[in-house]
Amino acid sequence: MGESLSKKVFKKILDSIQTGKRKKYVKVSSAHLSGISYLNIGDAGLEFLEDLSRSGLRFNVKTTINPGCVDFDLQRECDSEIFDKQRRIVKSLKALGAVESLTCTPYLFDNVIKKNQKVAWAESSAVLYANSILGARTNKEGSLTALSSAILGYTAGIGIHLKRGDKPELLFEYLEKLDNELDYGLLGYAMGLKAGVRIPYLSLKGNVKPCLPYLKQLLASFGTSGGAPIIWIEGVTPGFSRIPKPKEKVVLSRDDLEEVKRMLSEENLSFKNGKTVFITGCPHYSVEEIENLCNALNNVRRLSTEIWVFTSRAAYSRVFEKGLVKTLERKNVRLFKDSCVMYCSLRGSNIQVITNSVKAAYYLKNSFRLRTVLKSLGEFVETHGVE
Amino acid sequence: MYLRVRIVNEGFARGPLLISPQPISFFGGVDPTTGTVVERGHPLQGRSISHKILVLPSSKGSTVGSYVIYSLAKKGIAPSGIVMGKIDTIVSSGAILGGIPLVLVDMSKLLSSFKDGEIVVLDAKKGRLIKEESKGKP
Repeated sequence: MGESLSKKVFKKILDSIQTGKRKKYVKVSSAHLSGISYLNIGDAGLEFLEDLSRSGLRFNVKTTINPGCVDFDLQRECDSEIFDKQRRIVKSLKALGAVESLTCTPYLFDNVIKKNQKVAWAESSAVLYANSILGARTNKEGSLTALSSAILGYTAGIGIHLKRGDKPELLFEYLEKLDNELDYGLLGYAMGLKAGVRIPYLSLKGNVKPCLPYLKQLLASFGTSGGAPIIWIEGVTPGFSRIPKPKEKVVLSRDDLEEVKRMLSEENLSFKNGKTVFITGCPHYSVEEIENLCNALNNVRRLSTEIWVFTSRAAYSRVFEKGLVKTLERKNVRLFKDSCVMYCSLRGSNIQVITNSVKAAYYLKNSFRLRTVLKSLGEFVETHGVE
Repeated sequence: MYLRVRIVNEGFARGPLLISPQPISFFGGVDPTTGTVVERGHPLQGRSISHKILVLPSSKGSTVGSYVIYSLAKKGIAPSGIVMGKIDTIVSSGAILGGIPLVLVDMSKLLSSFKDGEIVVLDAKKGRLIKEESKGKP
């Protein structure tokens, strides 16, 4: 039973998400795939990707892939069956022509894109970064629509690809001061809850030109709670000045941030059982963010609680060359590559997680059922650094 | 009698209707090795969706559901056809990959004239869901 996997099948997938009679397509110059982790796609996903790699089909545009659930240099950390199946997933994707990027930040090294470039990316945090920071255009593709686009070289001409499909619909104002990366994450999540699927325009009165690490947190957490593929950020998003602000306005305050914190963060850690780790790098840390971490730990001899940093292999190799991996290891910091915070050894563990990422807290709490506490890196180092 | 349906994936199937009053999560909610609904508390818990014309309002849960439908189809234990209340990327992608006929229908019309278990023909070429017994008009 069933049709063999062919281009026709993948074109049908792009057609099936379009409601109109006349189907539209948009040529794309790159694709980025989600649904890579074995913990996520399981045996059914593995079976499908292996079938696809044997079908003769190949990717026709540059295609990068999201993280898996293991670090391929740390085999002993993880169940051997999971490790082997994750390896087979990546092997199939490579055979199809994917770049073995294994990162949710493809825009940094492996899939660099420019303003106005049309692409088909899954992974919401990367989609929001591509549109809001780089000025490229992509919908929030699903795993299979992005895969279809990788094979076909075009995507469905809907949503953001329509004329004025990127128009903002709801104005957000935040008038108070945002202190750190966690504040930006909380704000993004609060915006997503209010916006639903509408595209927001964000005016940050007292916070001119936030740095990229802060914006990454804002966008990733917005992508977790909201449906839109872009936030128009005043002073940041390419072309923001020619975009008329929406009439409907929502003013957010510190109270809204605190409410999100109550939803995703335990009041206190329980010290009764289990190990506690501080997890960061969701989205994956860039070289700059790893350097910032080194600076934040300058006066710390060794941390009393481990920090786990998730990053891409590309960024890891660069900071390794600078000698930073060993410096960080001496201070009780471990760096992981190829994987994300949905890491094999965390699932089913009783590890308590402190994190500065709202997105990480959301998934570790809801999918892995871990106890999560939200703290900024600065706040964590203050309480867990041993000078 | 028959109902007009909107075609998402073409095909033709015949079999008993299995009507789910609630959305189904194919990933986690259906055993991919047997085709049995395993979600606790689901109205279809313990029933097999294999070789049925499965009617559901929509799906829910992980997008990996598409791969589960594909996997069921490969093993020959998928539904013979799927009828849904609204368009749904998870199920449509899975049905297309697995070669399962899939149509959209006005759910209230279907529920008022079709019963769980009765034999139907799903003609997802002409766009009709046909009651087998009668040869009348809509």
